[in-house]
Amino acid sequence: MDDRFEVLVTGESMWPVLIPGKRYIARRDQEPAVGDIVVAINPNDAANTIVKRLTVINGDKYQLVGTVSWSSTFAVTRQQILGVLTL
Amino acid sequence: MKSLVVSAHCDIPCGIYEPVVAKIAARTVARMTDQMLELELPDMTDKHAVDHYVSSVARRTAVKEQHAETCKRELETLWSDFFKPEHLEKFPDLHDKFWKAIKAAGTCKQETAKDHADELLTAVDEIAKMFYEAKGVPERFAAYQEITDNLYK
Repeated sequence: MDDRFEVLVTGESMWPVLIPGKRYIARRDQEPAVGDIVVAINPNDAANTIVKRLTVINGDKYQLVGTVSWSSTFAVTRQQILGVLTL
Repeated sequence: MKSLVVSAHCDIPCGIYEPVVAKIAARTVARMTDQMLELELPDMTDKHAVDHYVSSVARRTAVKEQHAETCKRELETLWSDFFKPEHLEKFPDLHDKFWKAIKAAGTCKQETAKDHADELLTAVDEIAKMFYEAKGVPERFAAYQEITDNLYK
């Protein structure tokens, strides 16, 4: 099975690291580490996915933040992380 | 019989005046300014990224322009329709405050600078304080601040 999947970015919260409208590759088989950009299920809306930088791992709480100040911060579980972006 | 032509003080005398709208518009101007100053230039060889950047800045500029104009209009309404000559006795710098606030809104349209956005916010707050004092409800200034200073916290 291919462990890679394509990610289409919308929104500016990761500007200029990720450009809205561009497609990136993420890997399912990589363990997320602090500093990685990860794709995760939105903890506030399971129908949507988010892409943010992983800044803190505290037990099973993974803190995800954007690059711009107006981005929201999320706390997700390991299970909610779908993959790690390859840049 | 002689007739006397008189004019009403307001186009439609609704009696509804409130500086919150001007403050929200000023906060929007400040927010757009902050975001534009923060948006980093993308890799200029990446056309897609450059296109997106230009679009992002253009949209924020349009919103800044529109809300600065709203702020001006709201301030002008307070100045011309709510405040009366008798208020000058209590607030001798009333005209100066309005003039500076409206000029600041214009400067915010011309430039993208945090200093000007902050100047507009301060000027609107000063007018709001006068407004609530003139209405005889100075305690409402705190409620005004509570609402308008916490719009996106």
